[in-house]
Amino acid sequence: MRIGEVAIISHKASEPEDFIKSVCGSIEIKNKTVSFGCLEIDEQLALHLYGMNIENQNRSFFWDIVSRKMLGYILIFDWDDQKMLDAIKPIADNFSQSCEAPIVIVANIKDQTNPPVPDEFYKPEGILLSTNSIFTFGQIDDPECARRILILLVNMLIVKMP
Amino acid sequence: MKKIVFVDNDTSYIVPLKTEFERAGFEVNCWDDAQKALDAISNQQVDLLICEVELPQMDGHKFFKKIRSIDAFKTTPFIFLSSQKRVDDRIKSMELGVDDYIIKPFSIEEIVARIKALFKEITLQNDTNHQPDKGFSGNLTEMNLVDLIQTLELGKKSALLKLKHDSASGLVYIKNGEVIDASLESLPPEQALMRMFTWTIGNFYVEMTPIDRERNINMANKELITVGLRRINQWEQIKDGLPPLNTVVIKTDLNNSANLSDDEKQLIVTMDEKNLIYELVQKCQCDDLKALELIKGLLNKGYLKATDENFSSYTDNYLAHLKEVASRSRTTSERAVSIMSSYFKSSSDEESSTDISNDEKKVLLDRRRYSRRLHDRLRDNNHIHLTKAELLLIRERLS
Repeated sequence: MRIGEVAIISHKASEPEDFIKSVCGSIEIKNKTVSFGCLEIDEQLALHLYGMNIENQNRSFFWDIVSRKMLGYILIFDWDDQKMLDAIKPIADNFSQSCEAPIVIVANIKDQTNPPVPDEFYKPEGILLSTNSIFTFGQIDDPECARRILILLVNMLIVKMP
Repeated sequence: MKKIVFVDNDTSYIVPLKTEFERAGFEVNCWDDAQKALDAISNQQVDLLICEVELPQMDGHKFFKKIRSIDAFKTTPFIFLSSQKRVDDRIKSMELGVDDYIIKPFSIEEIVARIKALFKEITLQNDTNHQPDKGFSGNLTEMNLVDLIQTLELGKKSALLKLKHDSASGLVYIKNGEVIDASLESLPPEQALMRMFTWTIGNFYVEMTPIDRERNINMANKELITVGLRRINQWEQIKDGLPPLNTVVIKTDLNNSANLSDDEKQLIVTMDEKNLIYELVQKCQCDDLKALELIKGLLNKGYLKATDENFSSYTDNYLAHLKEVASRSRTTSERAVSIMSSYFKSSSDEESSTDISNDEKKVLLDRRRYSRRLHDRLRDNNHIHLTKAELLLIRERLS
């Protein structure tokens, strides 16, 4: 079985869980800081999603060890709560400085049909921040939207492939 | 217009597909037989081939191999269509080297979206990856032309520098560390070089190769570098206070040209209805610095105005637009400005805004900088652990 792994990181435990549920349908393993879901692509290939909640964690958390073989990272923050962005920012900085895997930064919004920003800013294809990172708005408890976010990550990986 | 060749013996969906493709801005030629398609296109320029795998005479795999044996089609993007559900078959097809694999039945909207994504990928890849092996590439923000010249001068290297900035591409020829020639559109070599000095956004590729070329730039490197640095400073100073250079500007209703200099009048005459600022600089007959100054003056005097069109993916544009909208609305956009500004501000600007002390920060930074982990973990080991075929399968499953 070939497995691709993606880390879903947020300051709130509920966000990675919502995201994983949206993509995989259910959470298979859940504890205080990590949730896990699996999306079987076919009988030989699967995508494993690890939800990590950084709510009570020190900023010096060893992400580089935890996420060694990740295909990429999805960092989620609550658009309505600026503190959540402040919390996710050091992680984003750390990843972008020390890691070549792609990052999708997601501003989680409550209702994507009525985005809290003018339409022209709400771009489903995201906003390219660098060759390795994309910012996007998204409603992570919406399966279609969560999958779109994962596709953004996969597209960045495909572009990197020879 | 991108030209797409479509080969499928099932013609039931060709009419709506063709309509939708043409609506999306593609030119489409459809064939129900691979051999006929091959005969017809072998001397044509094609941007994308889409072919059903299971065809009665020549099947998709054979068609793909024949196409790839023609020099002009060695790298033309190719997509297979198929109803095959078996993963092995699909991986086998993808490992032939096709760019995508679409399972039938599909929605026409989906196939259009996939094709657009593929063209986007190809453009990105061409910009960043598709360079010969002997050399190095990077971002002009991190290393501009002056830095590149200095680096190559130190080692007395010969190289061809390929610079890309928005839609413009320029070349700089360096022989034994000395800049000897440059080309950019139809500009004279020195003017081409002067323009490229101001490019601080874009990509470069340095191809380490012997240069056998007549010298067309007579200034010594030292002088060039001095001029280059001065131009970068001046350019940045003029840019300060201007909207991003890929902002669309338009003429206003001001008709009184008595206050304008001849150069300003000339610039207004050369303008189209809508122009990106950097395009306007390129159009202007005078030196780039002067052109940018003229544009700034015309914007300040109210003869030109920036519009909110051409919203770009660049962060600075994004923020500029958010700020612009914030000035019109006091609701959600203000929030957008504060949050996004906060996010994109670099860490060094945020000494006071974070709740972590400077000492703690230093400890963390030092540990990141000097720890053995930095080298034995992420950068060296974080490879993509799946193949392109597997990534395409994942994307297909998610779509």
